[in-house]
Amino acid sequence: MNVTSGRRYAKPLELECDTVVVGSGSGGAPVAATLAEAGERVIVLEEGPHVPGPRHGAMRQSESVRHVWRDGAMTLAVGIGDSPSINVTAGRMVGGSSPLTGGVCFRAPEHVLEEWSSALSIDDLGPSQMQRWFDQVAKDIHIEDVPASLRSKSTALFVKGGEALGVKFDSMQRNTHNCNGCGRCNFGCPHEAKLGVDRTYLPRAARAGATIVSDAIVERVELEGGRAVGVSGSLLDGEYGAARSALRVRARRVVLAAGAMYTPLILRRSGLGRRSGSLGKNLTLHPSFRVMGRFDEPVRGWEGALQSAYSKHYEHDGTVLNSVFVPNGILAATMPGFGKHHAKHRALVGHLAMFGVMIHDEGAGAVWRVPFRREPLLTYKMTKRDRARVPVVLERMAKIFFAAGAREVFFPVFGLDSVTPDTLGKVDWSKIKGPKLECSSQHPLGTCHMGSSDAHSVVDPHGRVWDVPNVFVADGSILPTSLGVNPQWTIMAMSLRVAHSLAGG
Amino acid sequence: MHLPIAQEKHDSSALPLAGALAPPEPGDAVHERPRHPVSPGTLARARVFAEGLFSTEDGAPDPARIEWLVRELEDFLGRAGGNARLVLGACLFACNILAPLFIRRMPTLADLDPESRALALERVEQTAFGPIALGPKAILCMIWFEHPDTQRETHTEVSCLRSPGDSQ
Ligand SMILES: Cc1cc2nc3c(=O)[nH]c(=O)nc-3n(C[C@H](O)[C@H](O)[C@H](O)COP(=O)(O)OP(=O)(O)OC[C@H]3O[C@@H](n4cnc5c(N)ncnc54)[C@H](O)[C@@H]3O)c2cc1C
Ligand code: SF4
Repeated sequence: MNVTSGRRYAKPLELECDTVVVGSGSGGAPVAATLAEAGERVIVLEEGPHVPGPRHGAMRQSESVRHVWRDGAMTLAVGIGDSPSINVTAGRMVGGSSPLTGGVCFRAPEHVLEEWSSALSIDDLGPSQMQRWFDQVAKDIHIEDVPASLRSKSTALFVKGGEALGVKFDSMQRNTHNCNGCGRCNFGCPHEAKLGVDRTYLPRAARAGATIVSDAIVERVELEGGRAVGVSGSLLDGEYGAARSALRVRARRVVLAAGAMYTPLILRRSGLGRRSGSLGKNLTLHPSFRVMGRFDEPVRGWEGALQSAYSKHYEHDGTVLNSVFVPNGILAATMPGFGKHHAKHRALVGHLAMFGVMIHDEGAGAVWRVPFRREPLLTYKMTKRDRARVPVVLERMAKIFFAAGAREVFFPVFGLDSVTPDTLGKVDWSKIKGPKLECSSQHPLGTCHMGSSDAHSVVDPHGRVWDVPNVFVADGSILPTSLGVNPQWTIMAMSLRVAHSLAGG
Repeated sequence: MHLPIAQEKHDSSALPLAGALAPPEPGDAVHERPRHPVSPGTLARARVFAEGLFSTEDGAPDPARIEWLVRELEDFLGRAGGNARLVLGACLFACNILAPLFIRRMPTLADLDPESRALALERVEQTAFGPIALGPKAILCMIWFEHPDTQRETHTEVSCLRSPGDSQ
């Protein structure tokens, strides 16, 4: 795939096209491919670098994090009140967060689509109307079942424990082809088996004539007479990759796809999207927690597909159990203690199994612009309903691990020692306040949410920003509510829907 | 003048250009890009933190391993962006000042022996200040586990090219 690096300039750059797409991730890439294939002149501007799959796959995990994860994975949504603070991760590279995913693909649940279409009066977001877009994405990125043979022992043990307690699990689906289960999906696929947008929509866009520029950061939408005439920003060609030379792209149409943390900032800087007062609000994160079980036998949970099985057994309670694993070092870091206590725990890493849980949250976060800083401030106030779910589901997961034969279980609570079957009932959750919970998120969504009226949404049912005729948003920020499942498939489907309405088909 | 690709392919009513696109590249060697300097204070505090974190029954960790870790952290922070340097630098600074207070000692973590540092940091971890200790702990552990000796000691050798079960 041809990508031009903005770093190679030492002078201002001005370009012109039909549609400029800001951000090359799960939202931007399908739009770029669709419009380029429809014959439009498309330019994709991406802040991050272009690191082709094999080069990314050859990196150590911490190298991937330092080079292509935003802020070295240290973005924090500051917890308010009894909320945990949440570590929010995203990609910053050509392909956005897509090359970092575990490949997990879920259709948006029917009840969520029904809510979008009925409560928000957006007819064509209903399950039957959206099916065509989901089906199209499934073909485009090759969504397939993960065979049980690729399950890691970590996952297999948890599933065994769950099934012993009557909890049903299913195989996940992922966008892969010829995966060998090496388990390092979040740090680049060394076998080019994961078919993220960097391997699918972006190359298609480039083949159809789209120009992809990496290391190019957009600051704002340029407006003239109430219409957008393009975008402006900088090339990252300064010292140590700092913004230096001016970048300007004149375009008939602007599509913002910088993700739920950055699209609202671009709109705000441009003075757009503020009618409803909800720009940057409504941030949902799918707060996630990981529970670990220690077994007598070796588990070596890093061998096998990173994510392969899930359970919606507790969906009625707003929680989905998802298989997951993290690098050994992170695994060790989440074990309590320092010094000799930690050394004892470090030695157990090969005997640990892990499973994750994700909360189907209510929109309770916000993205704020910080004066003189480019990075946003994120805040998150978990609702009472969601907060109450945390101890319940963590205990359920501990019981599943014990049913599978775990000797002890580690909860995601700072400084809390492990529990055994005998001590599980003695954990006093009322004393464990939100800030002591270790929580993460890979799914920031909803900050420019779609709706049927400009009084309470940022974009209209076609993704158009209400107050300007030719600026559109096509990324995770437009999802009207939290999904409760991993979002990439839905984001791509929504983006295709937006793109086809732009292409007139 | 070399025209931008978007215009070469299609038309047209071109705007005047203030620059022309360089030819596309096969992909950046990001690790060869110059990296941002990291403050010596942050690196010194990271060393102090790491010596506490990785001390064992046998005392302080191998200095050569700590040296490798700090150099790797310097590369990590030099590339991970300003926000990462700010957040990790602030966490390390706060731990350096706050942690000794938790075991009624003064004035900084650097003044304590590795075993006392571990004890002090452990106390921080057990309070609502836990997240400030977790940030540096997570990054340092992730890198620490990439050292071939650690992988050998913990039986966590890279299995990237293997399928499940191959190692058994
Ligand atoms: C580690 C990880 C694992 C994940 N695993 C899964 C999974 O298994 N399944 C799943 O469904 N989802 C997963 N996700 C989530 C999924 O990847 C995201 O929800 C999805 O990619 C979001 O798409 P997006 O287009 O909104 O944003 P992104 O894909 O993040 O793309 C936004 C892009 O815009 C760029 N950008 C930002 N600001 C600017 C600017 N001013 N100028 C130019 N460019 C800019 C960014 O650098 C980025 O490349 C995972 C995410 C992460 C981080
Ligand atoms: S587990 Fe499969 S998809 Fe993931 S990195 Fe390995 S080969 Fe690629």
